[in-house]
Amino acid sequence: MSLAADTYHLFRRAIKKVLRNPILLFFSLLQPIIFLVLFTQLFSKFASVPGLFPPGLTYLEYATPGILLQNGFSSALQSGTSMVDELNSGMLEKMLVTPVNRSAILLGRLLSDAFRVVVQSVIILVLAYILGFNVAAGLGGVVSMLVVIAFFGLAWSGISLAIGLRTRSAETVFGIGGFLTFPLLFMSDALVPTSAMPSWMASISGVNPISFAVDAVRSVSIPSTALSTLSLSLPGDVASALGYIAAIAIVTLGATLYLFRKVVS
Amino acid sequence: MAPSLEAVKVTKKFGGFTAVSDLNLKIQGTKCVGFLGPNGAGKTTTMKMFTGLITTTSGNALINGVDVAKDKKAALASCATLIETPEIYPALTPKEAMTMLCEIRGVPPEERNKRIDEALGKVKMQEWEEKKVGSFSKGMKQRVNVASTLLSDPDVIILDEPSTGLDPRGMSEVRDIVKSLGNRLVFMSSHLLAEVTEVCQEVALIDHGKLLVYDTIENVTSRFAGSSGEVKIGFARPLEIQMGAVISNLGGVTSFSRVNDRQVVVKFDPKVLTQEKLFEAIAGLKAGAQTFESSSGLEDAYLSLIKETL
Repeated sequence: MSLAADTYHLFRRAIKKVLRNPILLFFSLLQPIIFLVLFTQLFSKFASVPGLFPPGLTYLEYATPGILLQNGFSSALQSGTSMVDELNSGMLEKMLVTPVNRSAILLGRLLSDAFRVVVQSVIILVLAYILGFNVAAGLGGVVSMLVVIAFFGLAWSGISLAIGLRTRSAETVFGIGGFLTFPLLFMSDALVPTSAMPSWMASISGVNPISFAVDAVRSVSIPSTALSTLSLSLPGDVASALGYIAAIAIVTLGATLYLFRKVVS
Repeated sequence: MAPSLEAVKVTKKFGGFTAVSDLNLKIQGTKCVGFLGPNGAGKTTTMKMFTGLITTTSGNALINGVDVAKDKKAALASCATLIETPEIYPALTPKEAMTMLCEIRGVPPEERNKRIDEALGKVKMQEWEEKKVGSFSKGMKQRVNVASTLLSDPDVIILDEPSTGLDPRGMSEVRDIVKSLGNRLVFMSSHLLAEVTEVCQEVALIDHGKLLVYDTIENVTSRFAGSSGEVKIGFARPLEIQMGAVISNLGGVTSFSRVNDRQVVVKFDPKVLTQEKLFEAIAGLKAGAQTFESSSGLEDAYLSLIKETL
């Protein structure tokens, strides 16, 4: 069996596990809808603040990329809990005593996480479209957005998996995940432009990976006229974002790989 | 070629602690070998080295002559392992869970259903193959786990305490399944000496990471169990004094003591009086003998060997 075949089987196994858990499936699909409706309603008045947004840009158009990334970020951080479950229940050992390729165990898990994030993102996009959101760059832009989001999800899954492998505690994964989610989200331009932030927070947003990925998504979703007047804190194009996310992925997935090897050897 | 498991000068250290020390063990042929030892003796560590779950510090672990460290995939292709009672995704059916294992083990698609049916039939779980595992008892899950080990038709099966945590019925079911495995080399660790005596032909005994003995159960028992037999007999009615005298006066009885008026302990020399003859004599008394608890020869041998290494 090749690495690709093993990865495919384990990817299917992980997806089937989610599909066969109706409660998890329901909340996985509901979560992005809640995020979209909640945030766009809660902060909708931002668009009417003079000078904050370019004329004609709605808060839905501004925030949808942020909500997409925030959802991907939150979902990815849950990845470690599944790994903890497999470690503690003996399911991982059950895999390891078969001739399966060790790397496929990790790859199958990561790809299933990325796939879940993409499905959730499509749900958000469809709902946002119904509410009036459009992707300026068309279908190609949608694909670029999904690539950035999936790649971002993979990089952040690495953090969650590394914590899970290191601590073997689902509570710790949740605790650290929750601790990271909100400061990173609110100190980025995902939901609020940096011009509306205190200067120190705007500075942090300037180096926040969420800002970088969100701005890359905005670069294909928002019309270029509006984009040019919107103060994005970072270069904000898809290629740069992928490079930046790749750097994060090298660190997070590198740590995951190191810890996974320790667990399986 | 006969299936084999071999440890060649295997040592495993965890920091400063030596879990397994210079272990040499060669098991060859289709049989069941019990792997015994106290907690922390190095049983699970040894089994994990055979299955590639952990690496050896030095030495080689081989399955069918293939070094697990050098070619894990080839070594494990003909070996199936069950470490205690692993969980199965509760939302899946046994058939689905086993199909995934077939995929991973490279069982051809056209053979999968047949193999799953055969394996589930062997553990008497066929009628449950489409039911979700979440509703199964621990014993049923373990039967599915044992069935999973048969999917790739392995030559070698490694079972690490397969009865742990099961109720008496579950234990009995697992014992029956292991006994029915046939034509394979089964290497099974267990703390249940009665189970090992019933299921296995040979035993390997390990303590403090060192192999103490590897031989047939008969040889281990005769070499290390001591020379006297012992049996506790329970009676439905109080045992009359003259009846007790009949037992104590039997040739070969070395000691007779009353626990209470309905229970006695008889020690005897097995060379003079076999257990069978003793039971016949007691049954002949028509005194309502109800229970016979004989001490296991393997247990005596085990305690004798472990005591020596304390």
